[in-house]
Amino acid sequence: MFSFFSIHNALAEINKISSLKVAYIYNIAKFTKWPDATWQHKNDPFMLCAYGQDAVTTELNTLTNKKVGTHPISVVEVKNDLDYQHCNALYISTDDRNLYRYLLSHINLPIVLTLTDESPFFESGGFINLIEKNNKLRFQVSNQQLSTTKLILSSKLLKLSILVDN
Amino acid sequence: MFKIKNLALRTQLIAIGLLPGVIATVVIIIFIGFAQNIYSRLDSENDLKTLASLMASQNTATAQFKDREAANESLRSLNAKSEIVLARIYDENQQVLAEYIQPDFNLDSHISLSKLNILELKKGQLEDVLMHVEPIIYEGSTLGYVLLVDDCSVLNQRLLQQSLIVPIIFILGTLFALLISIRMQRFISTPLLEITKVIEKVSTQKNYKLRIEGQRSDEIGVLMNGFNLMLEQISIRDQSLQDHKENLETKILQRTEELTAAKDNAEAASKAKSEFLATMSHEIRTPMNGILGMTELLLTTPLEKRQKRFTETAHQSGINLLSIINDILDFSKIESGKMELELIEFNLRSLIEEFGSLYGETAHNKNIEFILSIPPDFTNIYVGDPVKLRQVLSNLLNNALKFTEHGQVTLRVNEIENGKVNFKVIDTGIGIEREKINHIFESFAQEDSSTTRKYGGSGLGLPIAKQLVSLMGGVLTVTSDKSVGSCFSFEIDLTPVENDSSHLNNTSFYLLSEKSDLENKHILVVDDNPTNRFIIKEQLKEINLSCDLAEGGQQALSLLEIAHSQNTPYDLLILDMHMPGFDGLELANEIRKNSLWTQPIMIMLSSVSTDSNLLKQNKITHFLHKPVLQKEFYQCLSSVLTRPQENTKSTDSQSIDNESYHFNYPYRVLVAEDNPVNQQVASFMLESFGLHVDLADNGLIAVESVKSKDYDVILMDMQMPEMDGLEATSTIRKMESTGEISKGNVIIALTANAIDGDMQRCLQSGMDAYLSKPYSVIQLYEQLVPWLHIPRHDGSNSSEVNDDEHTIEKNNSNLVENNSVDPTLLNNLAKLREGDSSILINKVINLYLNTLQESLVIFKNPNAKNDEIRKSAHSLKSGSAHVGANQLAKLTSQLEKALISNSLTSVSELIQEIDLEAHNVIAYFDAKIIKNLNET
Repeated sequence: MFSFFSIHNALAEINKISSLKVAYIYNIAKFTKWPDATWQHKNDPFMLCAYGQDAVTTELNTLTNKKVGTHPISVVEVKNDLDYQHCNALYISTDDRNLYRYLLSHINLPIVLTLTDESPFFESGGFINLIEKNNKLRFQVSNQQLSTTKLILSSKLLKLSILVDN
Repeated sequence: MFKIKNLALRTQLIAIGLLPGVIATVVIIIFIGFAQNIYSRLDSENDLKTLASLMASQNTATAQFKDREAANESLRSLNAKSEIVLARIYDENQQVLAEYIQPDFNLDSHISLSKLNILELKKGQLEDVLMHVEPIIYEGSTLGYVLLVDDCSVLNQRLLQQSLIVPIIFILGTLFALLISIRMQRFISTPLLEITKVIEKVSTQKNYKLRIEGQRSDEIGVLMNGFNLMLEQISIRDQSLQDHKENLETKILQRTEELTAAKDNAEAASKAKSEFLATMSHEIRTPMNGILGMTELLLTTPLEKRQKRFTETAHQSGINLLSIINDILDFSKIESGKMELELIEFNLRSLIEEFGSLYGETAHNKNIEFILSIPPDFTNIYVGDPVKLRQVLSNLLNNALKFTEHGQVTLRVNEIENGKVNFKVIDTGIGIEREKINHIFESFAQEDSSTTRKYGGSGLGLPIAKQLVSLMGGVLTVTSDKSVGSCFSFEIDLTPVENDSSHLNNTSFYLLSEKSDLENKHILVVDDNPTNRFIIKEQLKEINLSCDLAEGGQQALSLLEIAHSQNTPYDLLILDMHMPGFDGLELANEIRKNSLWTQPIMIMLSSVSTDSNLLKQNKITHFLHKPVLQKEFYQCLSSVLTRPQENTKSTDSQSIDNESYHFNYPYRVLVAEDNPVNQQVASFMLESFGLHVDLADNGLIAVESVKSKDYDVILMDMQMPEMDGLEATSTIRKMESTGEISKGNVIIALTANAIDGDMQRCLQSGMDAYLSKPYSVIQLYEQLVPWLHIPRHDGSNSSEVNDDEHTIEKNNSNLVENNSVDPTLLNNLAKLREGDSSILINKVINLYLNTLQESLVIFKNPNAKNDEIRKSAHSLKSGSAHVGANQLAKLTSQLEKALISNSLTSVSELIQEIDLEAHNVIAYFDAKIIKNLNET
């Protein structure tokens, strides 16, 4: 907490961390491969969905029109259930365990890259979780999800990740 | 320069095997070394690149997330590769994300690495190290860079190791190759050395049985087989040669036997032939002697005309027969190679000039001019074989005269160079047809058979002449034109002898000519023949006399007229007797008739003797036979030109010849001869000479006769029963040496044996001369003359001589008895001149007395030198011998010898004796001169 705080306090440090986290999200997306049937056209947009309100979700909009593969990123703030239907990646920011579980249950888990930021409920069924460790931003990858998902995470990405069993 | 071919074969082979291999190895090693170096470096670079790109791809995420730990971890894995000394991962902002430095690597030594920016490093290359910068690219964007630095240490070490191993391997390999090539070369060198060894053995031991062992199928095998085959052939040949040699020896022996037998047969045959010829010769000559001698004697007896002609024909036939026999004998001698050359001194001029008297008459009878052409300055004395030369020339001259009907025959002699004399016989006869020129030298051949019938002859003359000329080292050649004439010519080597006697002929003339002014004598030569004119002119020139020439009587008269008008009359006329139109006698008559002219002395030349009355009528001073002999000519000139005009009485020197075969003293001659006919011939001939003859039937009787009586001459036949001529002669000579009989017997050999070297044997056995049978009256006389002009010196005989002399020489009967002088010589001299000879004799005596007086003065002069005395003794000696002062001659001779041998003690005694004797001689001659003067 102290470190988070200190970052937070350190002027625009919060922004900086947020944008670093956004860059991590983008880079992880880049090292991840979706099944071929995900997009019909190569110009079809990459639907980056975000749930919740925090510094990261705000910052995510900077990724709009950046490309993952050939697909331009389209940042979508999910409000209703239908919105989840088209998500390729979902950033969840919530303190509510139930909501977290609910959200997960609404999406087709094997083909959506689910990301959380230091979520305490990561063990409850998330895929990738950004954490700070030794003053350095790292990310966790759930072994369970990895074994069931249809997404392919680059080995290089996995090399940098911290694998966890939930 | 070192050359591989001088080495031993095995070394050569090893070198050949090894050297290219070594060179190739070295080349390959060098090439591979370079390649290894280059490829190793390329490999290293590639490795580095691969590694770098691997690192780059592994670290895409690392770079993306700038994960230092992951980067460092990734870099740490490089420590397995020791050659990587430095590795860096840069992020996209070229900031070093992670760095790995090998612990051994000193970064400070590579400042550029630490200082340079990644992009700058990417552009350049560094020394010493390999370096690669690989960009980290993910999905088209550069996320960062990987830098890898390789210090090549591993590479270099590996290369170094390799390069260290190479020489060792090379050396080992070479050694191995050497071993192999040493082993391999034996395959080639061993058989070759074996061959060499065998060859050496063969050539040193001459053992052709050796063979090279071993069989091979390559070229060396072929060589070995070839050599073996060769040796086999050689040994076979050797064997056959050996066999042949053995056979040959027996064959040679056989042949030698055959040849020896053949040679013996041939020699026996040849000997038989020679003996037959000798016997024949003897057998024929003995009766020939009877025929010729008797017919000759018969001719001297009064015969009626017919009888005389018959006798003459018989005599001539005999002579012809004899010459044919001689020819055949000569020819067989030449054929059998028995003819040998003699080398003696002889007078060539007199030899040639003899032909003048021999053939002059024949030529005249045929109305041919016979000319002898000898250069006046000709060397007279030569060394050679005069007998054979005479034979050749007389053969040629006989031929020339025989085949010449008109014109002339010339014998020309020339000394071409010193020691080379050319003889030419030129005639104007019938000549020889060109085709038959070579034919004429064949034996028994004449130009053709009709010639033989016409001219006769054996046909052996020319072949003999040709053979003799070639024996003397010359070649007889002939050039001829039919009906124009022939020229026979040859050239032989004769060694001239230069001595005083060669000029003897003219010295007498010179001695006399000193006193008179001969050079001023005006001489005219009249002869129609130009050759003769030329010869006489040359002969006169030789003694520094010049002359005018006239072709005939008319020209001579006009020349005389001119001479008279110019007041330079001719002192001497030399006339040819026979000239066309106007002959010599007529000319002489014309001249004598012309009383206005100063009458010259005249010398008449003629081929034949002429009526001396005719000559006397025309006051011909001298008469000379043609061809004119130089000697006679000079003698004649000297006597004519030095004698006062009043002696122009005809003194035909020839006139004495007719009656001269007579000795003035009946010398005693012993004829030892077994053949009664020949005894008769000899005794008739000798008696006709006025000699006293005793006969001996064989050698024994002859020796006995000599013991009991002294003989002036002994004629000794060679072949006699009981004791032959040779033995008898040596017996007599032996008796002389033991003092049994008096010394100085003159023995003349008579022999009919013309073939063997009788002459030598005669002279060796002690005979003084040699006369071949048959001999003519003249030959006998001439042979005797040299021995019978001085009476014997022994006391017993001299009184007898003097007694006899008195009876014969009535003129001298009143002379003082004086043993000192033998008058015979002077009497002989006096007889040479017809009529009054006393003036001449007195002249001679006066000359001699002067010499004697002069010599005596020198002898008595105590200051006279020995040499001077010797000289005057010598001249007195010869002078004394000439006038018959024999005792004085003897004494002066002794004096001369004493002086030569330097026995001075006897010199004074001798001079005393000479003085005494000289008084006797002077007294004798004084008395004689007074008597002569009284008579005139």
